[in-house]
Amino acid sequence: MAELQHLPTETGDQGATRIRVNGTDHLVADPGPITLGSWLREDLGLTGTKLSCEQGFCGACSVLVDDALTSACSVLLCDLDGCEVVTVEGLGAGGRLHPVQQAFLECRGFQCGYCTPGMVMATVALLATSPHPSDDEIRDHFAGNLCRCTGYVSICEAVRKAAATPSAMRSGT
Amino acid sequence: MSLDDRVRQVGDVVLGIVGESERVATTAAMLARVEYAELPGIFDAALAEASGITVDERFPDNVVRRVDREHGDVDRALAGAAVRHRARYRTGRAIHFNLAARYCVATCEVDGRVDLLTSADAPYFTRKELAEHVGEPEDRITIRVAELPTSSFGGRTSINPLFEPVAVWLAKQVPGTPICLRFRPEEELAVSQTRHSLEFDIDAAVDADGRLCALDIVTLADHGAYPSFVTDVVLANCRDRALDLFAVDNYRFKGKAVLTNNVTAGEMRGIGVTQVIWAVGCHLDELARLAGREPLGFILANLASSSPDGAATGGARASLTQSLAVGAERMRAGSATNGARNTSWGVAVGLHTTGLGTFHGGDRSAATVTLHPDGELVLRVAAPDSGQGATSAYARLLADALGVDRERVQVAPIDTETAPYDRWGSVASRGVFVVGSAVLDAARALQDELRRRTASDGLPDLTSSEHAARVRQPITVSGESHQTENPPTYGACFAEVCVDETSGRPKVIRVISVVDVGHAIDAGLCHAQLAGAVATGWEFAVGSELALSDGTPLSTDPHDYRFVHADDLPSVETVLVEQPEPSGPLGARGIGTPAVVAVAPAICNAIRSAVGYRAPHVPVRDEDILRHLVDTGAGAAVSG
Amino acid sequence: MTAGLSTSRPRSAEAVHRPRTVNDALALLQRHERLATVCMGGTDLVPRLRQCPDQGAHIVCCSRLAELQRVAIGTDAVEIGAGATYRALADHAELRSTLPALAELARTIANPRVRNRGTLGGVICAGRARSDPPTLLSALGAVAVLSSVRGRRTLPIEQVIRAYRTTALARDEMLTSVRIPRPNREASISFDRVGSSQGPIVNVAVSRQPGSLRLAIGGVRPAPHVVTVPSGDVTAIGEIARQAIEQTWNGETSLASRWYCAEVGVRLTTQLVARLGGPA
Repeated sequence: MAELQHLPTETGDQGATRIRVNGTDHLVADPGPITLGSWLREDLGLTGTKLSCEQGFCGACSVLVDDALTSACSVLLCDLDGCEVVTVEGLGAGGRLHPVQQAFLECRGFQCGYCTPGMVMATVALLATSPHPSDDEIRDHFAGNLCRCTGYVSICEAVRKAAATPSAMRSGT
Repeated sequence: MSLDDRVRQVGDVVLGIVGESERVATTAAMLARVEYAELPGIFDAALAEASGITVDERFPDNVVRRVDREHGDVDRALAGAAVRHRARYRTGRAIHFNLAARYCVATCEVDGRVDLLTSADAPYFTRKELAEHVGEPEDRITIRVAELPTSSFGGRTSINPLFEPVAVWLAKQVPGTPICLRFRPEEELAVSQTRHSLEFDIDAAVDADGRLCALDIVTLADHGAYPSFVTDVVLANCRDRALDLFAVDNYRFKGKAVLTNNVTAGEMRGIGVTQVIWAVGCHLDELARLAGREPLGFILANLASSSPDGAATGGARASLTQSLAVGAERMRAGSATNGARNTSWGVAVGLHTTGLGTFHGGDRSAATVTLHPDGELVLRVAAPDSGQGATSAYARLLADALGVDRERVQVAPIDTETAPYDRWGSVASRGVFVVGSAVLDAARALQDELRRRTASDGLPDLTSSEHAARVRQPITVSGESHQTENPPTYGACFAEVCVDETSGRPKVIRVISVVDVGHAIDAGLCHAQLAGAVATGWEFAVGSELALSDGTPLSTDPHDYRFVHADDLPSVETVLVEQPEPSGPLGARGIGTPAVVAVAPAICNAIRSAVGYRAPHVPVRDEDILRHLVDTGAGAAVSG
Repeated sequence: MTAGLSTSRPRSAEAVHRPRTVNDALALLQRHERLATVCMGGTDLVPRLRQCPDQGAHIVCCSRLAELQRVAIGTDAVEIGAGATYRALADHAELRSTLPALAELARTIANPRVRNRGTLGGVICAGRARSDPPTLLSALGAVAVLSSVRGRRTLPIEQVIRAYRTTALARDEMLTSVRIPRPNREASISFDRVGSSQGPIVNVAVSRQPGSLRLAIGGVRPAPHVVTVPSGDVTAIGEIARQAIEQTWNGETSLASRWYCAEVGVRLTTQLVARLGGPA
């Protein structure tokens, strides 16, 4: 597990929000009512996180907030003061894919690719708490991540393959 | 046409606002006041023709298309048959729910030329439709295809009258300024065009030998408010596709498509064929049972040995005899049915045609290949990737034909300025079959050109350094293909279902999908297509429909819909059978769509086997199964 | 239809507040009485900010207040802070042994993303039929602790939800915790539902008290329906459930027909009673 480095928190009324995204610290003076998903995509240009249903239903916008899988469309940025966020851009290092990404690639765990960042983040979250999930556990875990193309067969294969890769349990950068 | 003074369906445009930001436009929209004069609407397709209400002035009685076909003497065969069965079936408005909502950028230049960046399966066809909608000549419009694929499944075959024409119209109000338009998630769910809701009245009969002797189908298609070319496609598939599967001496089809004020229907993976083969597959399963025949044996006994429209040697019989044997063996080996309560399996067969060879006087495609001095090959086609891997398949076909590494082939971004003309792009599972043939033709043309330049009989080594020295300017060649066939791809599906007594919910516990792919150019991608098709079929059978009340969706909250999730498909097995198709590249057939078709009837036949309930409607409602259990005493309210 | 490049920036809220204490939060609610909305995680509220332009103009984020995340297992009652996530409840060892049905529901509800951020305070105040925790909490006899600068009061869970998206909370009040009577040794509880991971169509919870059964039915209308049955056989309890559903079914919010909800409710109820070892 990546070491959590909580920043000093100043939770004042309408104050600034400190947030770490993929290892980089950000200080947002007055975030207002913007969601994490919109902020990541529009202000940071991190468009790997997809927004689709924007109702917390489809899972396309899944990211990690303090290692916990979270719908980026359903959480306010200002509610994440002092938190560490990892998006799909934060996986892998030195130009190499993260083992979970590698497993999705090898198992062709995607077609159109729109659900893929969310699926990858969901897999990272699953393997962090359950390194060797059963098939039932995998299917239950993905009960909130929708894919319109694959029928989930290759996605579940990718999860199993990632589970067989020891370093897949590392969540972050 | 969607830009006149009438609202014809929910989601119709009443006001366009251009703002510098979404916030500005939204604020302006909230200030707008619209006065409506209420007009009568028509929401029941069965009443559309005689309603006296006209949805579109071009079709006063709302009938946009009638399609018929007949051979033999159906009435006589029905009257004289050993066992006859008649029933009505209806299919729901399945929705794409594409995760990538519609999004486009339209720019109208000061000189009136239009540039549209959008997702389109067939950019040239999109250009043609758009030209008609906005009243511009085609050569004044450029369509550029967004490079990121979307899970189109037909949802981007046609323009949406509520979308692209609106963006262009708005762009015309502010020449030189790009206009960005997107569907909100609610719009993507509700008005992004559904599968057609179809009603089938089917009458069929068997003779004393258990042979299907008559099949009579009457179809009514509710197209919704805005007519398009797909009314032809949906009815033509309903008319013909059962004949690709089953041999029947007496056949009659009468089909009609009408306009209503419901949400407009459009293309969706296996348009028409998914509905009609579900209805026919269920009906024949029931007919077999009534005739005292085992459904699998009944299918085998009645398979067609040729296809009336395709060239497949041996037809359904040759393709499916093997598929059914393989699938049945697997299902029997691992079945949980033995003894388990309310659990059983069902079987069905399906097909879809590859390409549009017999639809529009032949299906043409084109490809160009440019060889650069550095040895890089740039391939241009007008068939975008929809996530099915088409781009990688084209690159692979070209690389293999030329004997070079795949990494050397770049497939160019697609726009109607630079891509070779190909009307139909990536629709109708034609990608590898028709476009792939054009790619192979371009590869041959390049080899010929290189031979001509080097005046040598042997094929030049594209990877050699001497070659790079010889080619100082890029060489561009073209390839074409012209298909007059649209050979069917056949598949069989076995589904095992367990019905929950508490809820009536049919849980699909196992699916085996066997498809004759002709030749697997990439077996991994074939399996992936088959697995995805099972999910689409599941949703059509037991998932969700867009339920309307007076044309208005009951919900636009996705939480209210049963879209297929990982836990809905615990066990999916995909099996490839390879009997080469003579007219396809390397013997391949289209596979994207055909594997969808048999899934829903297999699931419904399994439900019938498990609890005796014959679903007259898809998606099957838990409530209807539970009512059946209560009525038949199969599941008493008080148990244990 | 919306033109423009930017996507889902919620436009309606004018200000977002992050109070440091519950008292600060209550003061904010008093100050912005008419326009304040409490955010207790956001899984339900935040998507609605995009959809409903008339949502509260002041959002008071409270889920991270330490005071609201407490889980206190007392001798008479278990008190769960309104901001404790489902995940926190599922991971709470003492809660798992004291109220296993609640911990199990928290472990399996919806999907991992909802479990990581969703809270009891949020789900109760959402005022929707399509949720499981209010039904279970009602059967357990739980009460909501409602706080304001004026003081505190308690209200049974089933009375907190008045109608779809409407609660009994005063405009300056906030649901700060849920207090659940600690089950005595003889008591037992069982819960089941028909629906999907997106929510129940019908759910039923039965809690066995000395000499009676407390039956709560949810899904058929925004607030759970609670009946206490002194004694009787399984069939009678089934019929009580049927009548309750037929009388309270709300076509506006239910995903299924009155008949279906009643039929399923009867089945669930009789199964649950049987699972508890028969009627009291």
